Amino acid sequence: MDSQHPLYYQCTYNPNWDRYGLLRSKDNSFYIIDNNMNLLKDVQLMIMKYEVLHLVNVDHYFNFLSKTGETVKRLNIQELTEHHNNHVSNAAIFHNDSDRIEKIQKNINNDNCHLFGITKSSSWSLFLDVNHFRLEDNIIEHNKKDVMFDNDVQEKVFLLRKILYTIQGTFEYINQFVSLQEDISVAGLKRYKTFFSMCYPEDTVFSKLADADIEACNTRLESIKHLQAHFYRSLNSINLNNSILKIIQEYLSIIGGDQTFIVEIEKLFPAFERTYDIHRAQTIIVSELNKLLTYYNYD
Amino acid sequence: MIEKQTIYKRLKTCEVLNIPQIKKLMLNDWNTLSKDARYYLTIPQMLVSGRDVRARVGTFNDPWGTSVSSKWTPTPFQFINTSLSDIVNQRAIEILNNAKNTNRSIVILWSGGIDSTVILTAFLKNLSLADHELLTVCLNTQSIADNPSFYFNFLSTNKKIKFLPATNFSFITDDFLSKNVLLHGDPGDGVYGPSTGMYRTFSNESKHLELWKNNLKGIYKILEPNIEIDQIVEPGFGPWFANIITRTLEESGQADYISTVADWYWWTYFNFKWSSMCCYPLFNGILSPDHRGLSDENFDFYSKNIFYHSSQFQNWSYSNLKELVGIDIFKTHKLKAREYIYEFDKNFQYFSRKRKTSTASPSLRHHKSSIIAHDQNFKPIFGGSPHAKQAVSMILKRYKESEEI
Repeated sequence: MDSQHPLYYQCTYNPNWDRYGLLRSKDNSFYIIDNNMNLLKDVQLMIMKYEVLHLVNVDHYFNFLSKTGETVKRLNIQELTEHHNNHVSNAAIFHNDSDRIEKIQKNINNDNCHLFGITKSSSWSLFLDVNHFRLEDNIIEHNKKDVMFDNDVQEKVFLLRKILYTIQGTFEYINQFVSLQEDISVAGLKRYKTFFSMCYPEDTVFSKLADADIEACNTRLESIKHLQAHFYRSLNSINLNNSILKIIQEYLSIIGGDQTFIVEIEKLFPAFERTYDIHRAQTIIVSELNKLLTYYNYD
Repeated sequence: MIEKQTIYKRLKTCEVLNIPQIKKLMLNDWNTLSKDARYYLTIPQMLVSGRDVRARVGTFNDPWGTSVSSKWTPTPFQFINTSLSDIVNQRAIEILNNAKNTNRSIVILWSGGIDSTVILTAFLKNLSLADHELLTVCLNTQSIADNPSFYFNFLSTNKKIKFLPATNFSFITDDFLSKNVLLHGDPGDGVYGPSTGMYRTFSNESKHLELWKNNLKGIYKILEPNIEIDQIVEPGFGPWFANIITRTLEESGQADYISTVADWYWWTYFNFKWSSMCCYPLFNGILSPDHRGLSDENFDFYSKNIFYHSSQFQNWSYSNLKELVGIDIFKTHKLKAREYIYEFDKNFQYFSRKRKTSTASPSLRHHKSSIIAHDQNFKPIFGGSPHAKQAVSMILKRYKESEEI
């Protein structure tokens, strides 16, 4: 993807973490690279009814041998060492020398990932989450962009990643914020309940009162959880066949719609509380998407 | 010595080989094998998920001198006008009757891909609601990922259908086959046309509908393993294998009709992969050394009820060969099959975007110890013992494709 595009983001090589990619078998090309596996997994599942993409751990093919090699070295069992060496010398990843590391592992990024794929014969038959069960499996480089590569699919992948990243990030923050605020209440009530059960074992009322109070504290967090699920559910219901502009507009019309969006959650979770956190999460996500809308809504 | 002879005898008469596993067994002795043996062991990697290659028509001598069982003999080439839709519907009804007449239930292995979705659609369309109770759909998370709408709209809401997880196929026993008709999407590629990925280099240049006779050098080149994209090299493999395919095509007497590059790739599947793909669930399910294999009766029933393995489907494929692949391979790939599904599910998304995306077989997750073949009764043949390995190695050292073994 063009590095000037507003949906573009960098994900460069870093030995401290593994990077993952979504690969389309039709053209055996990567469509996106990211170090957040859960986020990419969500993108894969969200786009599933539109396009099947396979989740691949890109760095795995380059660091698998060094990881297992270290274990073999540490264990120092002669037979094991010989067995390991015999086995790995037949695997395609054995060819991943410093040249390939420079040329592929350190080079692959979101502006050139379309030029990389997986061993041709492996790409014909892949699990949704690509494990490494064939000796010939490896990351390969094409000499040019495949004619079947679908730029529209790639842009939609990046769009979904952007939306999901915004949702995940916003809720990570809100959850942390609320948990830090509420932690003492729940912990205090739990201890209060334990104390009563030890000192006043004959009392049967207190335990129920404490549980009700704990539940009231939890309702705030539960409401946030339901809200997040509804953001996901709504995004999953959008027709990805439409243009990106239409997708963003449709999604905004659902999540930004005054009360309807919340009413839908209340139907599923009657204890839902319209707290300040709910309002904040909704506002942040809607504003972020409105900014993106200006790029596409140039008319 | 006795074990060596036994292994050789069992391989010679086996039902289906596991060439990739034999290759793994031989990797450390690779350079001691004959050139033809190295080529032979390279075939599966260059032929889209191949496991065994045997010519149903014409001559090809593999290292063991195996032959194709009469179960998989192709129907004589014949032109027919019947529509795909009619053939699919008739086949579903025929299999339903076979199931009812033998008190069997119907188990459909559903990958979510086009071939198996056609089968499932045929049964949902042609069975009465009461008969839906006969259906079990064997699926896994991959199947749903491949076709989520079909799952939500027609399967998960249908209370009559039973479900079986396809995490592995270990449920396939002789007893299971005596109580069920086991259906799967193979050899659908042999009917609708093989993976377009095999001849993409030609289609990218719009040359896939040209005569193969004028493009043999290009075919040699595509089949030649390339270290960059295939991660192996075996110089000379391309012409060696292409000439075997071409030879059988000429021997069939059909070389003037099966004339284009795309047709030539259809022939590789129709002639060389058909028989092994018919046994797909069996060799992926029958893995234990303790497995008793299959009785002749159940194996025979299984083979006669493989959905796509019928004279009608083979004749349809032959008759419609020129329509299977058009100039735009993306638009025409399995078009008639997609139309059949669309008529039922009205899912334009699937119709317009779904193409070949093979799912790896569940059992590939599990190492099949050292199963190198399945014999006539589908008992596994193991190559793990030193004697077995020596026998295999000895045969592969002496193998020359052009000589009768």
